[in-house]
Amino acid sequence: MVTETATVPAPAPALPVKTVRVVSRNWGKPNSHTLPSYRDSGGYKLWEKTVKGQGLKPQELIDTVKAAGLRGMGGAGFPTGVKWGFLPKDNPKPRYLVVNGDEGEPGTFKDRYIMELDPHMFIEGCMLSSYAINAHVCYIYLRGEFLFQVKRMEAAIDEARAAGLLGKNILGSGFDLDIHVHRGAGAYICGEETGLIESLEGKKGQPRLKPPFPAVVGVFGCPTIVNNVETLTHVVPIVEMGAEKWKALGKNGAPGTKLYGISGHVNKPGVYELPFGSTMRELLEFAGGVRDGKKLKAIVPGGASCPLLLPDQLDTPLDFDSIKKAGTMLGTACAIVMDESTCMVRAIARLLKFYAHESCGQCTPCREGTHWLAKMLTRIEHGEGREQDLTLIDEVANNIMGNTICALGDAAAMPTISYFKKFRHEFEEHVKTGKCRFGEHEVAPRQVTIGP
Amino acid sequence: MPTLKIDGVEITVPPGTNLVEAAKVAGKDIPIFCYHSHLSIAANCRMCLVHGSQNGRPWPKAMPACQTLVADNMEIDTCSEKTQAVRKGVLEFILINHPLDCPVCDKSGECMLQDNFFEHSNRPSRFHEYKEQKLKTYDIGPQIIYDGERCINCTRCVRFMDEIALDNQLAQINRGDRSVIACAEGKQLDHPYAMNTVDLCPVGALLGKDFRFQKRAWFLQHTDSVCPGCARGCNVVIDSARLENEVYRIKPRDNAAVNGPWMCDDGRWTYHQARERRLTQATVRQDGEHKAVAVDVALRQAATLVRLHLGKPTLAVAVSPHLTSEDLYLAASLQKQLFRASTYAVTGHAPWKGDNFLKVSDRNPNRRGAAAIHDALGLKDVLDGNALLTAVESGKVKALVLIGTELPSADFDRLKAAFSKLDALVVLASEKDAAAQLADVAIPVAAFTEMEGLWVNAFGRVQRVRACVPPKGDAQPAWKALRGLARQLDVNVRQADHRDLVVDLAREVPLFNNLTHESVGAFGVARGAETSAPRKVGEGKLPEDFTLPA
Repeated sequence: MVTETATVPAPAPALPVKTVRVVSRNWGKPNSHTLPSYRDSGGYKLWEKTVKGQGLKPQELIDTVKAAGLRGMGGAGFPTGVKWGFLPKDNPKPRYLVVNGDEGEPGTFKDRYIMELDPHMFIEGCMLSSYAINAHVCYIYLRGEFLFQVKRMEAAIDEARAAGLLGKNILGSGFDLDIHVHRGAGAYICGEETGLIESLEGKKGQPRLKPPFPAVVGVFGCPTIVNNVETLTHVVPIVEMGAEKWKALGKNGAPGTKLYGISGHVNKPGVYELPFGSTMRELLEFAGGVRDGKKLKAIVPGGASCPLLLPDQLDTPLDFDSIKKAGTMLGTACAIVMDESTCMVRAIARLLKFYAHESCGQCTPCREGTHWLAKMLTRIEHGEGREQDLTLIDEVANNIMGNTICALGDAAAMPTISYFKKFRHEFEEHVKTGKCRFGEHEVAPRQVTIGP
Repeated sequence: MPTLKIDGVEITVPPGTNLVEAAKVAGKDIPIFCYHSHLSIAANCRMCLVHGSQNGRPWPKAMPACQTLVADNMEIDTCSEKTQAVRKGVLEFILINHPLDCPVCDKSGECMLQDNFFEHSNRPSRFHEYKEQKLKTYDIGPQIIYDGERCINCTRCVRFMDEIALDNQLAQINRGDRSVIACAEGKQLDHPYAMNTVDLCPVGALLGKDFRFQKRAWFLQHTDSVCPGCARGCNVVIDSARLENEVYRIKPRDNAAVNGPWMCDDGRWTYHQARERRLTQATVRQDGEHKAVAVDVALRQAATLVRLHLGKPTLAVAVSPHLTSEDLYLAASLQKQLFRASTYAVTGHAPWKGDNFLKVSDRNPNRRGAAAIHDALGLKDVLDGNALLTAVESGKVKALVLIGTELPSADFDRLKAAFSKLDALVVLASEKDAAAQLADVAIPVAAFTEMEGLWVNAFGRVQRVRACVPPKGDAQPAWKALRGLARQLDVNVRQADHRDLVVDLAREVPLFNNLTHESVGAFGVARGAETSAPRKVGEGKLPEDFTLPA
């Protein structure tokens, strides 16, 4: 049980001056999560203007977002404006905006700071987006562990509602909108958009078959747009400064700014807002370099599901297309840095334990394959590997890859293939010597001594 | 209509057809587990993954054939090495936690997992870890045992309960390889159609307690027949063992016009009445005691008893709507020519409530056939079972010939009191029921698993009942026993064998015009405009007050 005291808000990360503060511009201000503070910095002016019909019309909003080249920040990188355009024009059913705040990807922690430190900017993003797609109900789906964030979001929504920014006939404009916060039960698979929708409907969180996509048949069978928290927050500066100006903030051909997270063996882990398209090396510099002056071994660029980025690829720009060329993915853009003291076998074995635990059990390859890989990798790490396991790892991972209903299977298979390909010698060494060079590890089940 | 190529075979199928069905048209087989033509698509087993191309561009990955719909310029390969490699991978995954207890599993021999494994993989497992242990021999319902380790989580059973039975009794619980099928806490799988989940289960995870440990599947022979449980006449397969000549179970057989691939649980247990409590020897009552005698002796005794009442108001003849139309035709002809009884009745079980899915309220499979025959032969004032019992109870009937003993009342005391007013009771019975026990002469006849003939269901569909085992003991088809009785009464029945009866029936009774057993075939022939197709996914709703018939 998560208690109140255990979830005091993390202090605002100390941000280097050189970052571009656009979506994070209010972070660190006193009481930045409250409505007065957000209003002081000009917040909700845009929404008031838009909802009264003095600003952009819905279609203009969609076009602006399209022109800005905003892409989904939850991992898949699908162009947001294009997604909004998929809503069927002639469907009489209500439309819903669902915000994916599950943030379940291991190593990812950017959305939570938005919700903790500037919930109102996010809410304004939801409002503008709902207005653009003509949705009158917006659900914010947060992971079960986000108890503090849920409270902060609910408090912020209450403030906005009390100020007349939400509810029926907002500011006399005739436009209705309400936002509801829904707390999940702590399942990684509910970060997958259709699994999220099932969970939101009160069912077991198992991804749906696609097609139909949520834009056509989504929550409660109605057309639904599912967007990430950060994606919707970016809508505010885009509309504020215009597509061209926002786009120009980026580097190396990528548009706008991006919240990059970095954790692991670095001196200053945290969330940094940098121009989109900054290189891995720049991000690492912001994070103060590798911990204790050790040598860099590998980086997972965007959440645990991504294949590895090696030290010689540090100059790869962190945007969706460039990083794809480097053989990995941007994912959630929250990097995990591993230094030379990391055992890659242990790392991937631990990772697979996570995926095996979180596999929803719906389709065969993921349900059985993730557990097989987890057991096999753990066995190798414990020094009981066999020669034939070295070919088996690759084959099992490839049998999962691409054969599952949702991307969880791929998310487990991709890092396995990547770790194995790039650090095969470590796997071979474990099998040959029956030992781990990086020292002892916990043997499960852990021995507990009771008494003195 | 989209035209596509499956393994080079060009076919044109209606739009909206999925690739599994399209492959059947092309004469190809795509292996499946979770796909069922009468349930929604789950695409969770991934067995039907196939590679293919669209407009010459190969698909980026293998697609599930059950979920993918046909399109123009599509090419599918169902047996290339690439597709087979995917299948092998999936089968290997399915089997890693499977207990491989085929030697003690009742599904063995008719298991889709066995079939698909030997057909598409047939290689030893490379799994070196410990297997997950899950729910084993779990009592999931009054009729059904669940084995979580054998379960491949295809969710066919869950979808059946949700979509066809309309009672969400099952769900998949837990995650990952700990996933199992379960009921809500304190609930059980006790729906009156629950046994369909056992038929649907592609492996031995859901097994009926009735058939469990009874017979290996490869000893069973399958006979296409019709269920006698109610007037819908669900098409069934009766599984019997060759060596013992015993019936072991009844399973539904897909007939879209009658029952789809489903049947109710009550229908499945009907074979017990043909197996147990059988009257296998003719009995004659002498000095208040039943004595087993040869059938001829019993027939002679019956003739002696009945002869006194022939053509008199004291004689009553009653036929059961469980008999075949041929039996009923012969009985009606004899009534006209020989018995000339003033009381002629069609008995049959009392109706039950029925439901809005398959069960109809009349529990007798051939009442409609009996009515058609009696109309055609001009029999007037045919009573029903209750009127017959009232007539017997009033004492005006002195001799009763019961051809088939399905009566509206099974109350032994009531029947005893009624029949005690009779001077003579002759029954042709398949079961040692109340009437057979109270009879002066009881002659054993075939049960529904032992007779050949035609039934007409409540919707006017003529269907064929087939014998799957020979009659037990001295039992014989009812028409043969009737013919024997007529001979003892010095009337020679014109029809020499069953075939002649069918020909006469087809000629004399309009409902059966131009029909032979062969033309009726396994799926029956509709006579009349009434339809009776069962509901499909998304149709219908069980009433709130729905309860099991007592």
